[in-house]
Amino acid sequence: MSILIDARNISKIYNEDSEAEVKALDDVSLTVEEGEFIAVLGQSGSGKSTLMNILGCLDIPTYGSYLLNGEAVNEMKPSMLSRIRSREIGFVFQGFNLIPALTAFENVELPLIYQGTPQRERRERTALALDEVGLFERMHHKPSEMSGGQQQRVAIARAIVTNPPIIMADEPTGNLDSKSGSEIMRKLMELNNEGNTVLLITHDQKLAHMAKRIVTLQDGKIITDVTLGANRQDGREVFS
Amino acid sequence: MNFFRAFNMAMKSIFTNKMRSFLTMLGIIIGVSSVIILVTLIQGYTQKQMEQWYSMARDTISINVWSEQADISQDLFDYCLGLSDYITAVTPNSQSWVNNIKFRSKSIEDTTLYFGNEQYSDTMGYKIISGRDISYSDVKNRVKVVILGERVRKELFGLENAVGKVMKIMGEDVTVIGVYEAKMEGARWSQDDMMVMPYTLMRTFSQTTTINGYIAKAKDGEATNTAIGLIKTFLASKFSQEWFYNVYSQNEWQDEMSESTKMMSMVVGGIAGISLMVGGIGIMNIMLVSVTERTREIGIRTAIGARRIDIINQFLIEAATVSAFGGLLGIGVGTIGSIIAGAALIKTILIPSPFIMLGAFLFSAVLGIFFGFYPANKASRLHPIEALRNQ
Repeated sequence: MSILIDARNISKIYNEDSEAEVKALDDVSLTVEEGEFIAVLGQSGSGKSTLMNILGCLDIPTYGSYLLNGEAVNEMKPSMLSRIRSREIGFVFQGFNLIPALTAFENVELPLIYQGTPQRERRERTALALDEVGLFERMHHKPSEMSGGQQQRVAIARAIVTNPPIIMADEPTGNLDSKSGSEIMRKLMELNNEGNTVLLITHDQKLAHMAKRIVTLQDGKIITDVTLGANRQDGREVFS
Repeated sequence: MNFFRAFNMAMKSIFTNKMRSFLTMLGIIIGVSSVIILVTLIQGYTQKQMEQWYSMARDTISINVWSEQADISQDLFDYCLGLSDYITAVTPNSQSWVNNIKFRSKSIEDTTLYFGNEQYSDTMGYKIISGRDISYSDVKNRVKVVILGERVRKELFGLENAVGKVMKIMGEDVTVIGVYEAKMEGARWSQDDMMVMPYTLMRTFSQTTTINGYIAKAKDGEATNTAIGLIKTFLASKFSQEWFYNVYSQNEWQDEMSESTKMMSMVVGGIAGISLMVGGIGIMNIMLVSVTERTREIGIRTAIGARRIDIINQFLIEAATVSAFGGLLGIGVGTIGSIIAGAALIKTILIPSPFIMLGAFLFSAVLGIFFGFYPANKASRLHPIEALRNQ
């Protein structure tokens, strides 16, 4: 198994050397191997979102080194970060983050457009991704015409359409009812079973226990890093 | 992301905010159409005037003598006739304001009476449409004949044939021998508001009796310049002072005039262009609003792999599309406006030249890109995390 995420001694400090200095992340090291399903667990303010932003190449650390799939991300310029995000990572956000003016199909197609995929291939892959999340029939609906669960499935389709090595989900069930939430979690587990690496950010203990490994953050530091064996739960139990 | 995709997205965003897009375009529409209408009007007016000038005055030389120091009229006339390599026709040129013009019960207040010889019509580029021209014997024998301009003919004779009729000018019987082709539909004060007589009749019909002006028609532009030089030399040998006479060609006049109307259309076009600028600022304003409104969308796009250049392109193409659309509508409004204004103001159907239309269109698209750049750049600099946090 090759190492996908190799973050060493990562710190993120806001307003450094001033009175308002905030250490959002303090000397965090984390490695994630291909095929893992890892949950980053922490209360609000623990630094888990900052960690996801850095691991997701939306932000760069103040200190430390970060190798993503072998590339040193912490030294990259914004345009390179865009390329890395486009190629290596699929995001699923708490608030779905679909573009309201575009249909489900167009939303899912967008990452491929930015990758420069030719139209024909783009359409095929978009349709496949929507089929994968069970929304093939609803591809021409706009987000406002869909339920929250459906919207989040569109977001998952958009995350997987480029076939990225890593899927990062930030509180993906936070805005959903329990039934839709369990669907989304099962989908993530299914993707993991198919070989995708999944990184789940959550504040919910029960949700975290559906992952194979739980990293707990507190005050910007990793306090525990546990690999679950038989204790792992599936979606049915969590949402029952 | 290719241009076509970006254009599609721009169209989508334009159509989701129809009213706003239209109001934004309105600035461009007004700007483009006012540039087109004003420039077309000036050009149409100039062209119409130039056409008249060309038909009569191209390659003509005016010679004026003010000094009584020497009576050179016959000498000058003979000298001009001698320049047959350069000059094709020459006529004395004098004019008088006459009134009391009658035919039977009809009369007109006044008109301009020109005095010339048998070459007058040729020199001035007037065409006889019916009857005949003044002849050498008319001039020599001081026969009381007249050629009428369209205005005089229309008012006195109407549908009746004028040629051969005897009319009264200042109480004298004069025979109409010909009628000139209309230039301005016989309008009052126009070039149709005139009559021409043999210059030998000046003693009878005018207070002034000496001839101090001649008009010569040169072969072409080059001959004009040569002839002017020769005539000036000739006059210099006759007069002690240079300001006793002057010789100039209508060509200089025309060139000067076309130069000045060109300037004028540029100035007026420029002033109208200011409104186009204001329209451009309107686009910038609305694009800035759009960037603020769509901060979250920009964040999403950036998060899923859009580069800065993709975001810049998206907003630039959107601005250029709004602006170019405004430009197209402006061309339509400008064309209709030109036709209406042309018909109302100079009685001509004016169609803006394709050059102006293309220019206006391209300019408005470039304007969109220019004024769209700041908002687009601003959008592309948004940090994805901040942008995603925006609700």
